[in-house]
Amino acid sequence: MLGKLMKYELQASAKTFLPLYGVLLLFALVNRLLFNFSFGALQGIAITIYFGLMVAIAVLTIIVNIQRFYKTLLTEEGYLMFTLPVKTWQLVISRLFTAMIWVIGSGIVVMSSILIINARPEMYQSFFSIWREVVQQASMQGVNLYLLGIEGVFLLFLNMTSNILLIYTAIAIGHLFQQKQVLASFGAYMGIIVVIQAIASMIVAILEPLNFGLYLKSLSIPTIAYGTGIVFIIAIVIWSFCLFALTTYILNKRLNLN
Amino acid sequence: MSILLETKGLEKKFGKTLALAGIDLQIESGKIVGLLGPNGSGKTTLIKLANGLLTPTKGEILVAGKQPGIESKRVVAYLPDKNYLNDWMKVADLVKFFADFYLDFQITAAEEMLDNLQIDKNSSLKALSKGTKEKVQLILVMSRKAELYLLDEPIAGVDPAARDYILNTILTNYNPEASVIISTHLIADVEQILDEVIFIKNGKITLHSTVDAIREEKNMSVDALFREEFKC
Repeated sequence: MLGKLMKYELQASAKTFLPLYGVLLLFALVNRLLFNFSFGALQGIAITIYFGLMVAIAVLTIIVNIQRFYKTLLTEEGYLMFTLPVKTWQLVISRLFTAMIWVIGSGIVVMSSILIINARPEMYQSFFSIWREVVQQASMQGVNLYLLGIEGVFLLFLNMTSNILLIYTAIAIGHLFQQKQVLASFGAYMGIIVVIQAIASMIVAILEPLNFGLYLKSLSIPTIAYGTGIVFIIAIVIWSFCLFALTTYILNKRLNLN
Repeated sequence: MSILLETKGLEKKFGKTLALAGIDLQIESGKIVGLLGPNGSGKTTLIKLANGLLTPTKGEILVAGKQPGIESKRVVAYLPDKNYLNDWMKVADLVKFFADFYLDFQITAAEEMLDNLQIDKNSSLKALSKGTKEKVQLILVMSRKAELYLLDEPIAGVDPAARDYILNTILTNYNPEASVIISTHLIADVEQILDEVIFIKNGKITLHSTVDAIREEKNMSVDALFREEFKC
């Protein structure tokens, strides 16, 4: 059932994203070709449109994903979704996975467009020579930069997940209110962030007297490099799970569709 | 005969407004039941509670013996009083969607009804008139072999000719073990197909009786009784 839910979610949102992706890549190509000639004004217009599209994709990736969650679950479309023979967590996860696919998709498309615009051999040559230098430096310190890179990508991915889930949770909390649900959702979002920051500063306050800084300095560079990532990964996984559980609980046990 | 829908002291409040005031109700299988009451009497609230779209404030609602959840959703076919389908989808896509999720959905039945009502399967929902949209929704719901059909105002927005076709469809499409609950205030139109009626007023059930009993004991039609009971 999860697969079917995702299929329909992807279909519904693809109508927004795929044309935009296509147009962005097209304008990257147009800009690349215009660089070869000097058409002053035309070049200005093309590059402006290109940047405009890039901003549009960034903004829409956030807005469309928030809107899909809200619209398909908590407006009239919710009547359809919540009467399908599926579990509530599947409804939440299908939207989360779809949102992640589009976030990654937008990232890949924007990066590809940058590569297209800069498609000159000398550009890549200099990039790769710098990259090799960095990798070499890192391995002299005992750090495998590729491994660290994988850890970093994983961390980025998880962070993205928790950010999407935080928005879902805020929307779900807003749903608990009889009136002014949107305002309540904003309030919940801000509230959760404040609480999290308070907890983070509490942890720092607890660790400081324990000479945690000195302990860190005693560790080897690879341990610090890999270790911090792993600590953050564990923390974000736990955090994401809490947000997911709360969202699912509210939609399961406290649903009141208008 | 088994009990398909049961409520025990079911209460629902919206803020301070009491929408359902602790109702007790049992509906057996094999019945077509009219849920009749004026606007704002609690008909839609009761049906939404049975579908798990609302959470009860107090009391309990059981569908086929279970609280609303994945098992009850498998056996309930629900027609809301709203346009709840994706506007951008084509009628044919919607048929596929329903067939994908509901194992009891019969594609051939749906296609036959769409043809009979001359609805173009390739047009998107967006392009259809309000009445046609309602017909599509009803066809999708009635194409399931469900145990309990919950139809909230199924005929309010369609023309009388289609109304007859739809009522006939309801009558011929449901299996004898299933029950149909139809909420409406257009009583005269549905009276001839009902086995039982429930009158609901200000969130309370004022009458639950068979149609035959009303005719025999009170010597009047359900419509006439309704007009008397709910006189303004």
